Amino acid sequence: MRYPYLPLLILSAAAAQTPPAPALPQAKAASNKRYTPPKTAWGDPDLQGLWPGSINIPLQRPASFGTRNELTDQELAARDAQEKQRVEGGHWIEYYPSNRQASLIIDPPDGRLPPMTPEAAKRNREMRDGLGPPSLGGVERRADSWLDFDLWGRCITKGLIGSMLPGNLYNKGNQILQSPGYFVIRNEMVHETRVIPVSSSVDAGRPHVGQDVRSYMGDGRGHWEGNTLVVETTNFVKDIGMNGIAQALLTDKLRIIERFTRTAPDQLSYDATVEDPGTWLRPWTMHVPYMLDPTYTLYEYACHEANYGLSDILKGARATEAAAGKK
Amino acid sequence: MRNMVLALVGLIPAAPIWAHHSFAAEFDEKQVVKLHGTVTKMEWVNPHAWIHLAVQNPDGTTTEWMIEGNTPNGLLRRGFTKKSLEPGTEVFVEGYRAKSGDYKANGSSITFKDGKKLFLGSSHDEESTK
Repeated sequence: MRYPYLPLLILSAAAAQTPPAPALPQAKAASNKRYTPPKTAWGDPDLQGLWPGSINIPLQRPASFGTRNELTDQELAARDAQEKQRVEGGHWIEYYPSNRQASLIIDPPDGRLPPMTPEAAKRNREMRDGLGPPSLGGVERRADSWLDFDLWGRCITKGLIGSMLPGNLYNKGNQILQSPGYFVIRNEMVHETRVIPVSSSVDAGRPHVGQDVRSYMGDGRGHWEGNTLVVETTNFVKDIGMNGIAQALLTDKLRIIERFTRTAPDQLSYDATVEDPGTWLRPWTMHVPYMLDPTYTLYEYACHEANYGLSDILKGARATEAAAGKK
Repeated sequence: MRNMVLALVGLIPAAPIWAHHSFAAEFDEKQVVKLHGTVTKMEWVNPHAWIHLAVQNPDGTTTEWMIEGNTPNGLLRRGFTKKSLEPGTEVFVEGYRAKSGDYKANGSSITFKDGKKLFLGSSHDEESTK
């Protein structure tokens, strides 16, 4: 055997890369609707704090689950084992404890993304992207230009949905800050900060900006419904990826309604209803059970500073083509 | 043994699917590299840190390799600091070579000369055991 030490090295490396498993969380506590959150000095419910998305819940659930959205003990253990395997084989990615919630999507009731419009399906089939698998439907896709990368690959943004989705990689810190008339949410990935005007009893708020003014994270407006902050965001640019993966490039018809409710001192219930009639045949809603983690530190993520990946992928595509030409 | 080894083997953990970019577009999962070299510098940069490694070849020449690591944020959370890989440190690296043919690889494991793994005993691991 040419490398007799190899199996040992592999096993020990895998052991070193996998952090010891913390205890799995118990069944998700039912939202305590009667909980009264603390108030800010100016009287709004206080949602401030660090709410990292360090949670392992897939976006969609297997079709076999039907409308069931809670894992059995066995399924929970299997999910966690799969997560550990992913981290072992990963790119120094972070381990996130598994949650009993079967899927982030709670509506449609089957926990699956609704069907796409024919136009959206075609748009996404034709994506030439440095992200996702290099082949789709057996067709090899290689990047020809920096424009073939989505906005996350180019270190611009993950978009609003991608920024709020928990789990799956790293840098999932979120921080909420409030001031009179404003709600601020920072996402560590990719150093996003949304400053959202909030109407109140003393401030009627302000209307959305005009339809010609568009941005990656959209134009958000908030208001309180009891202890729930409701944020409506519109005015997006088109072609924002949903999670940095080839699931969907969205249109400028995108509209997102978010609902933030503190349901316990350390729990934040987050629901986001996503409407994009240019992409899906109906709206869908995801639920994230954020947990407070005052020990979390948000670091700057200056993603653009040395994004060698793009040039490496373009050079790799050309090298692959050149090698194929010589055959 | 102080040389560069390029090998096609099927025994190391599965190549990562997830990264900031497509792993499969940037690196070749079939081209596993096992390197033994000396750290010359570390680029503590986003979106991924890069470790520069001087690897002596069997013919006596030296090749400068670049090994891709995680984002600096993720490294910090795992107890990795700028002091963790000082120039001159001897390490063994396993990874997957870039499709471009450049002397670049995605690092999947790093072992020090004394056998310690990069993150063994890190603050992250200690916290995780509490």
